[in-house]
Amino acid sequence: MVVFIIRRTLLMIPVLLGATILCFVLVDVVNDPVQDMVFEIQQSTGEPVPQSTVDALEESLYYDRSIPERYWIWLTGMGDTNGDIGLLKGEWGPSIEGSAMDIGYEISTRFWITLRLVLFATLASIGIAILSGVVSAVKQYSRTDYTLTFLGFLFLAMPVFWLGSLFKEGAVQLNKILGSTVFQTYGSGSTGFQGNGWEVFVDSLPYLIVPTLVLMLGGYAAISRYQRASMLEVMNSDYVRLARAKGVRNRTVMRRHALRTALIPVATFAPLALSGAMGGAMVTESIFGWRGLGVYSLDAIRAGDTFVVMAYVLISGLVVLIGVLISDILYGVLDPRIRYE
Amino acid sequence: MKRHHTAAVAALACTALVLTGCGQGDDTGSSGLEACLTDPAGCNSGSRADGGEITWALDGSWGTWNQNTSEGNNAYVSMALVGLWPYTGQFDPEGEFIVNEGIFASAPELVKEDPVTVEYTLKNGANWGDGTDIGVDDFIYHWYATSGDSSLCDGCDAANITRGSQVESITGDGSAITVTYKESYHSAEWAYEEVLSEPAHVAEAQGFDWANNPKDMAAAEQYFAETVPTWSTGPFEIQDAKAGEYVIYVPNEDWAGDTEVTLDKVTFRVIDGLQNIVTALRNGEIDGASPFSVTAETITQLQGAEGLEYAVAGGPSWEHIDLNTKSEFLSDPVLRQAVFTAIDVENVIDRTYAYVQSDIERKGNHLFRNGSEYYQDHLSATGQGTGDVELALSMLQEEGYELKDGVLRDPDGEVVELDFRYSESKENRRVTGELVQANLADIGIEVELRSIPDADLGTVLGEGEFDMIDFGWSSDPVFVASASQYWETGSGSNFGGLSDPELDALIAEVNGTLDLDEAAVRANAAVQQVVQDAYSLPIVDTPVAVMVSDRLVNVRDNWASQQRSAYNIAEWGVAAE
Amino acid sequence: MSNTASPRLDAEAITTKERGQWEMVARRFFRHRAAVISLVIFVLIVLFAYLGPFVWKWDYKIHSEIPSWAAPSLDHPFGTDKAGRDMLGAMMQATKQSLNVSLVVAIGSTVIGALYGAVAGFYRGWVDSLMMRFLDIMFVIPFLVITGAIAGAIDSSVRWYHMAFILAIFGWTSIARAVRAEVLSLREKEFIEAARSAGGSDWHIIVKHLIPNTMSVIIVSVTLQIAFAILSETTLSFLGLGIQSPDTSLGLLIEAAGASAFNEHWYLFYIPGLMIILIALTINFIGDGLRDAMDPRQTMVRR
Repeated sequence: MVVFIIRRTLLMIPVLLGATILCFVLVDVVNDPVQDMVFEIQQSTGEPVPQSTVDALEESLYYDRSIPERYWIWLTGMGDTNGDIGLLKGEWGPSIEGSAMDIGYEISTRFWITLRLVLFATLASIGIAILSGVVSAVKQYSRTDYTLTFLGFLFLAMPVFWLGSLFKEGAVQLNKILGSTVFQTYGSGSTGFQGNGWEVFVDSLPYLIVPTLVLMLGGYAAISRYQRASMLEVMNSDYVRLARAKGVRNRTVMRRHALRTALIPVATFAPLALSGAMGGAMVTESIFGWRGLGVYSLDAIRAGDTFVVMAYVLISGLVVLIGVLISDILYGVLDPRIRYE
Repeated sequence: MKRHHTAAVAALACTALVLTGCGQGDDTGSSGLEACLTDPAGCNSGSRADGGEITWALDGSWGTWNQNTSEGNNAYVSMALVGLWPYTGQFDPEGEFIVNEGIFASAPELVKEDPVTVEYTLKNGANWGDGTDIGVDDFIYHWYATSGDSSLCDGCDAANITRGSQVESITGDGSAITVTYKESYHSAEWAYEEVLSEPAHVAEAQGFDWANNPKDMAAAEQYFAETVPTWSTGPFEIQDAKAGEYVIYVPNEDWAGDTEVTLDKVTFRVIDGLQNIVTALRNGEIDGASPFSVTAETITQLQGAEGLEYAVAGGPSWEHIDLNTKSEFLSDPVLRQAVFTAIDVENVIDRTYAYVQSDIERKGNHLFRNGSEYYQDHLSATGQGTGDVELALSMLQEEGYELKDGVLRDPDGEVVELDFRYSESKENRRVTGELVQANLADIGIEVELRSIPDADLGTVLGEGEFDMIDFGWSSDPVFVASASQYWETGSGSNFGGLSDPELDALIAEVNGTLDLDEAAVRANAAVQQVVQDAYSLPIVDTPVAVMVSDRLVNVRDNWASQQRSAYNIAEWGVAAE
Repeated sequence: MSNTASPRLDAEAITTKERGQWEMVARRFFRHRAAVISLVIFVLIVLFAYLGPFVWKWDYKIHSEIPSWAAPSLDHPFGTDKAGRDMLGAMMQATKQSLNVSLVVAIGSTVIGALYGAVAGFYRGWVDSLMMRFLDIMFVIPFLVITGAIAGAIDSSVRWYHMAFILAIFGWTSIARAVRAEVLSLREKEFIEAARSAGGSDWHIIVKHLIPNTMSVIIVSVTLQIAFAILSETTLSFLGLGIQSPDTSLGLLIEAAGASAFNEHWYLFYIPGLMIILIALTINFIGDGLRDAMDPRQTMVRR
């Protein structure tokens, strides 16, 4: 098992390299932010931009080099740089936003903001999903099953951005009725709020409720479908029937035999749920104005800020890979049919 | 300067309101934002209570603290730093220039015309908020930073060197500073030039020998770009800030200005997206905002909101359609004239901008706003923008174009087809495109609408990948450099590649006088010529809105300032009971 | 076996088998009431989107005769928007474009994903490793980021087929993963051993034995995939990185409606939103019905 984990960890490196190369090429080849920055300067100063400034911009963003060169220095920082680039040296590269924007710092603060949202929402949605999936399967074709199935399908069918817009408006209306600001609709906490972990958490609660709810409802239904399907499959399998035939109590069969096996698909689906929640977080964050990673990457895509996009690709890739590894380990632990040599 | 508001729209929409009470904001008396129509510089004024806090939303972010650099050329950083930045002065909403009361004792004086020599008189006690007075070194520092001269600053990434590169010398001691320009400097706008930015003594304290070492100068600029200002020359100083997110201001006790500051705290907070701003405002999370765009949906929501006031007026940029003189068909000036003639600008406005600003007017001059003292209408006489299909067709037929079966062919028999490009997120520009499409169909031209990803507008313009394009230019009261930027042969911003020697000569003259009135006359001559060239068709000054909680006083919009409503931040306050 | 008896027996066996399988599926499906109702609604939506424009008098473009912001009425059952666009006409076009995208994506990505997953799971060893590494690469690339970046960079108006292509190219990984996981345990089962010892070729085993036996996973995936495609497309369009004007999409309509959920322009927000929900909902119920109907391991009646 230890060998397996080490091997899988080492295998992450080529995967991440492959992903970053693919993304770098796809994102970089279609963008030329410098020209647009120059245009914006012209637009607002109403005066021509000196060539020296254009050159300085290109140089500072490394746009005076070819794409392979740019990828290479992004990765290694080797060669003629301003010392602000090179992943191996712990530098994430310059952002087109300006020099007061340090990508590494942004990523590290925004990561916790996004994680807070994604983790709460994912845990909540997995919990609800397992519960409703199992209940649905056990009471297959009952009224409860139909109701749960319908609700699951309804939320599965609901676009997160639509649900988000609706809930946000709803929260504003509710605030108006209550005559207070129980729900905050923009941001992840009070502006510039300082304090220890608990105080920050308490401060963030009014901001947290609505977006987490939205992300949770958007995420749980898919898992619950998997849970119900696999539970049904297991319940129709021979060994469960055998257990029943032996006269084992129904409750015991469910808990000891059926549920354990039926959790396997959910375990494998959990990392998918996590990456889905990361994607969903992008929408939720942009609707509710959370300054998390998702919004950061969204803005970067719009602005053609390649190094920020790359940072996001790397971080979210890492998160997903670790999730997959955990799920594969769980898979092996849970399912005796699977062996890792 | 004509100001607008939306009382008419409000009254109209009230009848349709279902879910929310209407009329709020209309009955708060004449002292509110409605008065901006007649009194743009004095509306919403009132007596202030002592104390109070304001949170103001910015609709965009920034990534640097240095406004000298190309990165710092950003309207949002200039808003975020409005409380402390050493501006020469501000244009008020009536276009009057008001000298910065915290720095200068009087307006700058032209002491000599040849070469241009300007004297600045510092106010007694004008300081950087850290015990150091403002002095001649600070003027020199700003000059070096914006000189574009590598012997003064090696690696300064200045956004604009038009003034900095023209300075010959700066001398002075105590409160009198004299700036001498080079022979080639002839701007009629000498009085408005920015002369200060960052404190030279802070650069020195950081170990930068900026005055003697050009590399150090660049390093000092970089330092200021990355460091939250601890200094202040304005009514407020920064208590806490994070680039692109927020700036929290508290009063600057050392400020030399005379206006009394009443607020205890002003927070500028970035909220992306107009929709989010309006929601946060209605939800009481912020007190106001003057975002750079406004939609009819927003107006509807503001009408339904309690305790809010808003006003809509032409903002700091203007919309226009440009034609590409390098494109296959539009290189013919007659076709260009015909195209502009066939476009019905009034109809375009009715279906776009008029929804947010009911009394909006068609823009008649590229450089001067309607109603400005220099405004002249050179467009109406030509028939451009009237939608007169007959006139357009007769122009074309005279030149050998032929309209048959609803298809226009040029004299060589080729079918005329054009594209129309616009930024994909700008709904009004898309609708403009659809209406232009319909207009030009009447003269047999098929128009293909092609949107542009928002981040690619500069690229599309720079590469000239368009036949017709709809975009905006800044419309501040400064005009001397604009004509050459937009239309001079070879200018980097002359995206449609216009090359008219006659126009070039007229443009050169604009910059040849120190008299503002004379410069305006010459600028109008250039406008007249560019209209003849049928190169650029102005549509409107893009409407923008200011939206504020009705507990605030002295907050009003200002199109003429890059800082918009925050131009008079020292006067902001919470209304006295 | 005698020559006289076998033809009759064979014929009977074949017909019974064929009729029986499809009849069973159809009977089971039509017994699933929600699935049948959904099928009817879905067909109606398809007709609405593809035939509606031939019947209804307004298209999705702006017309000067149309008043702006008219509430729903007989002339304009779904109201009109600000610029003077009949929302019923706009809904037909938007629904059509969103359906185009989701159907193409669902079919395209399922075919790619199922084959990919089955091949990887069947061969195991280095083939599987290699294929899984590439799958990992595709999988770790954030979906909305890469599709948004590519769609956002198309330097002209983005049409539905651009979106369908982009979403299908990047959207098949979850199916491949699910199918592979299933195949991994299936390939150890006796009937695969049997097929192999009977001399079945690899391709034959994959296509005839493995994939049909993963049908329940695939069908659940296809339904999720249609919902996923329509939600991705509308989400990207909502974020301004999808279909662009002058074309339209349900996501664009919702984006344009803004926060009008609780004001007098509510219809601009709810109608396109409900349409997305309705499409995804009915598709999912249909898939559910099919799954129940086609799963050979599932008994019909259970307590």
